[in-house]
Parts: sequence; C-alpha cells; structure tokens
Amino acid sequence: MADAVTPSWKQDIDRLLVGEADNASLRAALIQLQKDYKRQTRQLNRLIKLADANANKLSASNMRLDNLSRNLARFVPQPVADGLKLGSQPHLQQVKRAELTMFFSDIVGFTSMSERLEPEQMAKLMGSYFNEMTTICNRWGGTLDQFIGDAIVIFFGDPKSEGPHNDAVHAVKMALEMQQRLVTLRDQWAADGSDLAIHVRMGLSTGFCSVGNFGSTARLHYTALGNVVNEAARLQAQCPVDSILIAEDTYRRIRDRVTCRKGARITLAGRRHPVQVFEPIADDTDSNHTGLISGYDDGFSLYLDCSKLVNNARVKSLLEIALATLGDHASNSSNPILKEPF
Amino acid sequence: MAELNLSATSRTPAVSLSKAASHLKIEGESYPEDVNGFYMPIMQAVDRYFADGKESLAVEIHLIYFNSSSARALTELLDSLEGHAANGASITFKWFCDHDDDITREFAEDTAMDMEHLKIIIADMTRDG
Repeated sequence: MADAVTPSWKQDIDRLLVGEADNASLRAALIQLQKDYKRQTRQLNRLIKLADANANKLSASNMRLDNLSRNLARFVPQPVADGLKLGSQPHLQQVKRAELTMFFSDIVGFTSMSERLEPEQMAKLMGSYFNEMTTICNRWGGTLDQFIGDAIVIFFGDPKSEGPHNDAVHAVKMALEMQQRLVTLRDQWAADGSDLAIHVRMGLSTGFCSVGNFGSTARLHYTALGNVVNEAARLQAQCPVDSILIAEDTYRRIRDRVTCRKGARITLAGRRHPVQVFEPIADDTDSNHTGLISGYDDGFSLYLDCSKLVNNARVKSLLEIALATLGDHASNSSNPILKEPF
Repeated sequence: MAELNLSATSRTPAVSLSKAASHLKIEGESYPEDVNGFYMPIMQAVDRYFADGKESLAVEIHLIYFNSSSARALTELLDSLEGHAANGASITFKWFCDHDDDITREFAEDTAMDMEHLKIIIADMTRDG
C-alpha cells in the first residue's frame, strides 16, 4: 500500500542522496530510521503473534468439530454426519436407487424377558447385546440403520459398497458371526449367574431399494425403503430360533462362499406366492483358511478343527466308518446341504 | 469524494466514512480474499478526507474477527492516522473488543502502546455493536 505521509527522515535521505544533507540532518535521519525500524519489527512481531493466536484458535475449533463429528456418528449413520458437515440441503436430502442386502434381527421372547427384569438389568443386558452386535456389524462394513426396541436393522451396499455379491456375502457372514458370538455370550451370561439367555432370529434379503435421507426439511432419517426391507423383516419373523433365513436373491449371491441348507417354500405375510428360503450354516472361507469344518443336518453333526487334532488316525477312521455307514443313504437325503449352483 | 459506504459481506466488514459527521466506522468480520483491494480504497478515502481540509475524525473499530492480512492492513491505516495526528489532526480512535476476545484486545493494546500521537481507546463491545 502507498505511504499516506512521507516521513521527514525519508526527505532527509532524499536530500542526502542528492548531496544536500549535512551531518546533523544525516544523524537525525539515521536515528529516525532506527526508530522506525524498531517500530516495524514490533508491528511484525504483533502480526506473527496474532497469526499464531488465530491458528491456535482455529486448531482448537477444528478439534471441537472433530469431537462433535465423532459423537454425532454414534447417534446417526455416517452419511448423515457427513452431510451435516457439508451442510448443503441437497446433499442432506439425497435419495438414490441401490442394490442392498437388508438384515433384520429380533430377540425371541423379549416381552416376557422385559417383564422379568428390572429396568436397570434390562438396560445393562441390552447395552451389552447391542454393543456386541454393533461391533460385528462395523467389522463387516454394515450400515447400522436403527434399533427398533430389541430389533436391529442393518444394510449393506450404501454408502459403502464392494459390489452386490460381496455386500451380500458380508451381510450373511456378519449374521453367522453374530449367531456364533451369541453362543459364547449365552455361556458367559450363564457363568455370571444369569438365568436369562438371548436367542435371536435373523432374516436377510437382497434387491433394489431407495436409500438416503428421508423425512421432512425439519427432520431427516437415513434409511432404506422398498420391498426388500419388508421381505427381510418377514423372513426374520418366520426364522427358527438361533437361526438365519435368507431370500433366494441373497442366496444366489453367496452360494459359492457360504454353505447353505435349502429350506422350505414359505408364504410370507402379505405375499400371494410362497418363496424359497435358505439357511446359511457355515462360512466356507473360514473352513479353507483355518482348517475348521462345521455343518449339521437332521441326524448329522460335524465339527472338525484340524488345528486341535491330536489323533489324526482315530479321526480318519471315524470318518471312514461314517462314510461307509452312510452308504447309499447320502444320495437320498431329503434335506441336502447345497454346495452346487441353485 | 471522501465519503465511503461499504456494506458488510460474509468476509468483509461494513465501512462508513462520513464527512458531515466526521466519523469512520469499521464493523464486522474481516478476512477478505483481496485484502489490498478492500483496504486500499478506505485508506485513499481517509487521505482525501484530510486533504479536503478536515481536521478532526472519530474512528470506531468493531471487528469480531480479523485475519493476519487484515491486521497488516489495519496497521497501515493506523500508521496513516498516526501521520495525520502528527501533522495536527484531531483524531479519536476507539477500538471495541469482545469481552472474551483476548487475541484482539492484546493486539489492540500492543498497537496502542506503539502510537505517539494517536490515542487509542480500548472498550468492550456491546451486543448491539
């Protein structure tokens, strides 16, 4: 910026440069120059100090925003938290069509359980249950839609998607891990002296949905809507206790990677025609990677953990006897374990 | 013309220089994209104000936030006013700071101590400015 007023020392220096200044005015000019230099240095220091203070203030504000963002994501799905950070209305109200795998779970006998427990006991039990299930959901990359009472709604395919097949596989493997974890948790609760045990039904379905932030301008909820959502809920309602039922569309996407048992054709509430359902029973990937093979059917139960075997010959002999005993009966099974394409 | 009226934007303060009222007021937040482009006309208007023969001016600063570039521009404005005061102009300068804004208050206090001819009065900013 231009100097508003030309200092007197500058006029003296100008005179000096053209040979008009005497020693006294030169000395005065140098004193003034030194004074102004010190003043400029003080100004510079003030500006640096101000810049640092503003940077610290900004850093503190950013830290508060980060904390707020982290806490926000505990209450609302990540896409909603992200939308709030961006702050744009169109982004917040975005809804799109996407292929999702929906998951519904519900605790068996929750009403009678809640009648037997004090509110504090119920809160502690449910807190532990939800925490365990949420941890597994997050590990598999699911989007926790909501808790409805004791029910959990999760979907795979938005906002993060690894493709419809992988999304479906992750959803089913998550459900398998949840059921396995519940077996352990029931043992722990029993060991802690609780006579209550949580048993859960789970249902999954895959297909196209509308997903995004639904609601009014005043209140939004990130969720999925569509027939698939209803189907997953109804499959859950008809699922045997401690089991998982999946729809045919889900089965088609996971059949190469998860062992399933073909179930019955059942009529879901509100549906005119019966649908074929399947029950996932083992994660094939786990078996390949860890030497663990598990499976069961009517009249059959197998649990083989190669890492723990101490007498291979004995186990091999037992399996050979089992195969020999099975004989022709194996091909006549009315409820086969399905590994072949449907 | 020594008159100036700039409306506030999200990045720049409102500025009013009234020759009739002998009053300059800068109010709002200051972090312009083009600091020189914003503050240069203000400084030129102040210089024209005194060049037109005016001998007194009441200045009020109500800045909630200003960035370092704005602080540099304000420093130059203060130097200019200091020069006019040294030449005999009667200038009162009131710098209003938020009660809990230690950064601005400290900057204003340090600046005030550096002035020989211009007296800067630091005051608490009220809610209505």
